[in-house]
Amino acid sequence: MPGTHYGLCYRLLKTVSTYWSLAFLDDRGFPRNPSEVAWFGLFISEPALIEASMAICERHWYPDTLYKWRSEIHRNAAFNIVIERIQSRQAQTDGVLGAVLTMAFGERLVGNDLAWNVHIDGLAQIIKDRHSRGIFVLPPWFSSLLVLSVSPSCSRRT
Amino acid sequence: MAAIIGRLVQWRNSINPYRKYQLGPNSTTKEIEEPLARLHCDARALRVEEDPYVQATSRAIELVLYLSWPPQVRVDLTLLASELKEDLSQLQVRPCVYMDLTSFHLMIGAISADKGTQTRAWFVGKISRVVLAMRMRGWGEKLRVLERGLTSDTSLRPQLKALWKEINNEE
Repeated sequence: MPGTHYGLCYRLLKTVSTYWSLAFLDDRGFPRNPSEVAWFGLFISEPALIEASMAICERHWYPDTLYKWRSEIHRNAAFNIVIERIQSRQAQTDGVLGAVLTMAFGERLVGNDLAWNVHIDGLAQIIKDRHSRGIFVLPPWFSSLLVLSVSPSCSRRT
Repeated sequence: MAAIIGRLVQWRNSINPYRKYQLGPNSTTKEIEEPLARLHCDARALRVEEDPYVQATSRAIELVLYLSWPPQVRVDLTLLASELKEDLSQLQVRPCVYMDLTSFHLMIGAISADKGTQTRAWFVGKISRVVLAMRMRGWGEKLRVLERGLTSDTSLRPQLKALWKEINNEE
């Protein structure tokens, strides 16, 4: 029944947005504006982005091998989905860009500069591929998040 | 922006001998101050972009430059840090707490603003909030490892270490 379906969807979305709020903002009230609504829409649309985000959440939630192990499962799932997307030879979506950038940030958080560079190189390849398909526009959050990851005191590639 | 940051990293590496031997701004510094002036100019030029992320990074770069080679005429770094704070407050999509924890923008704002100012308190508070939340989840010792990485910048190490000492003592 449409009403029940709508209610279930609403509760599911509410649960996911509450998860995001608590896991990543240590706060409530996400999303609070149209830009965050757009980001949330992107988040729930791309499984690789969900997996990459959960990998970071699990890894840094509690210093326990169980959480580290669960993080690796999510990280590998994200990686496999992205590889599958790339091998499909279709134009990569904004969600895939978000997933790879999230994976890069996850490696930066654990100090793995080598893996950071690999993901950033991957992002560059994806963007070049999009250009070759006539997709020149990057989502507004992409360069913004990349800019926020900049540290002028180190030599990490950006 | 990537090109400016690349030049900034190169320039900061080039000033290390001057810093090591404490050759201050009165020494032979043409090879330091000319690229410094160009970097300041190029960093300010980024602020033509209205994007708050670009504005924030432009101001963060300028703060790094001022802290790395203090100008002969005093500059109000607290005011510049306050502008950085306004830029970061306008971000439409809030960065996650882990970005705050490792945010160079927040750290540079905290070490640039004068002690006792609301501006400084804002920057320190943003980082402290995440550190406290993670400590409560048992990350005490592992945060020290992160801290060592975040304070590895040679020229800003004393200020960054003092900042993290202050953050840790607040809990």
